[in-house]
Amino acid sequence: MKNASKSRRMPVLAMIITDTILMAAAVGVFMLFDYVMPHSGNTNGTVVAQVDSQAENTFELPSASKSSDADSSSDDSETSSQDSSSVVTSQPTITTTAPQTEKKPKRTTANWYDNTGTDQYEADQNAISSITNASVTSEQIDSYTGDDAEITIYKKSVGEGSEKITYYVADVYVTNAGVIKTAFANDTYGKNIKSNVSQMARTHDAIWAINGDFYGNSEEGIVIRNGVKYRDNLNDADVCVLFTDGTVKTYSADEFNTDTVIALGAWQAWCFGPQLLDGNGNVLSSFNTTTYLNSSNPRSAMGYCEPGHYIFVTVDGRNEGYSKGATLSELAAIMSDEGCKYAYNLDGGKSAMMYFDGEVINQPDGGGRDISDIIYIGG
Amino acid sequence: MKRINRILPHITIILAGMFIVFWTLDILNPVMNFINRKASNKLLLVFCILAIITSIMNVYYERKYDSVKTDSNNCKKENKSE
Repeated sequence: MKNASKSRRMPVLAMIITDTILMAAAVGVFMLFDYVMPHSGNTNGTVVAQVDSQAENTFELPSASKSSDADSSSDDSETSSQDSSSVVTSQPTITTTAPQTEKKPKRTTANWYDNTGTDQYEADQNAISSITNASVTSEQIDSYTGDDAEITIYKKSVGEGSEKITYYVADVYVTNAGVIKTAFANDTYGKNIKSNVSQMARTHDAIWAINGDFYGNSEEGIVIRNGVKYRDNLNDADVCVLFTDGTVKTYSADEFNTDTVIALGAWQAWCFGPQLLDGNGNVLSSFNTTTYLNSSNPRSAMGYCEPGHYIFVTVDGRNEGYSKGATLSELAAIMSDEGCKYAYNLDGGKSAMMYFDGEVINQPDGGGRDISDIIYIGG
Repeated sequence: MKRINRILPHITIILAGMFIVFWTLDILNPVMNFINRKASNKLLLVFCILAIITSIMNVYYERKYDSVKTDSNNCKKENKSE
């Protein structure tokens, strides 16, 4: 009898294998349910801010200030300029700036799994100086002039060989903060609701778009979009807020207070990060990130120069010889070089995509992926 | 009951393995928030309850085994003395 019950028992090795397979299956089902299956947020949000384009906080576009100077001297231009309310131009110009200094960035010696000082991840000064001292090849690849926005797209690269970083810069001027809009995938707020950048941009007649913070991948973090608050349960991530007066401020999780930013007129709030600059254009001494996330990757970031003037950057990566991607220190240096006071890291990796005039202009890793939200102009 | 006794430790092992995976992923990418999600919290509760049940069962059977062993030893001693 004892032998019979013993023979029915599974061998130890088979038991271990079965348990491991079941565990993998359980993790897979969990991931499928929590990270893939869409869950509608079932909320229309609460309106917390509105931008009045006629209000006093309206900014002048660079071309408008130039033309107002020129208007006094020549009225003929009116006849020659056809309907110039919305013009897309393509003027490739290549420039190289700054002297080249051959400084190879030293990589951090920390292991990929070492999260020592996660909240105080020290900026890599060698990587920063390698960007700020290197020559930048810049090519203007496109531009757009509309009634309420001017966008100039540059393709830039820095470094050589395996250290080369290629990135796209959208130099954006707007007449008021309301011109910078955001959109959800399928126009629905919720978890795991995804669509591709081009589709979302076309749906909203956007001339330009960039990926957002992939809010739908998480259940936590502030979500304020186009003046509507959808979520305000906070996590440890840094927050970036675009206010209705056109200013942008980045906050660490400790500094951030939802009621305060709503009272100040929060038009958009993103929760991903980390913040990259200190408000005066200097690279922060430490970032709220981990060693793994700080490695060279494709990245997107938004920067603030002054009310009405913003810089959006998409760094290509994981493509040796074309672009290795950027660490957070390198991205911060790029944003500082572009003249930003505040800068904020958006979702990266395969999500890093920039769209202009009907197509994705950068080379996303693996062709990109579907994401939750975009930042766009137009429509 | 016997079948449950056999299955429970395996479910506990599977859940423990899942949380080791989540913990590792969370270290790599805290933004994904693997451990602190609503679903993970529910799984954690299930894991804790199962761990308690399995441990109680283990303690119970160990004590039962010990008492049976002691009884059989006593019996052997008594038989020897007779």
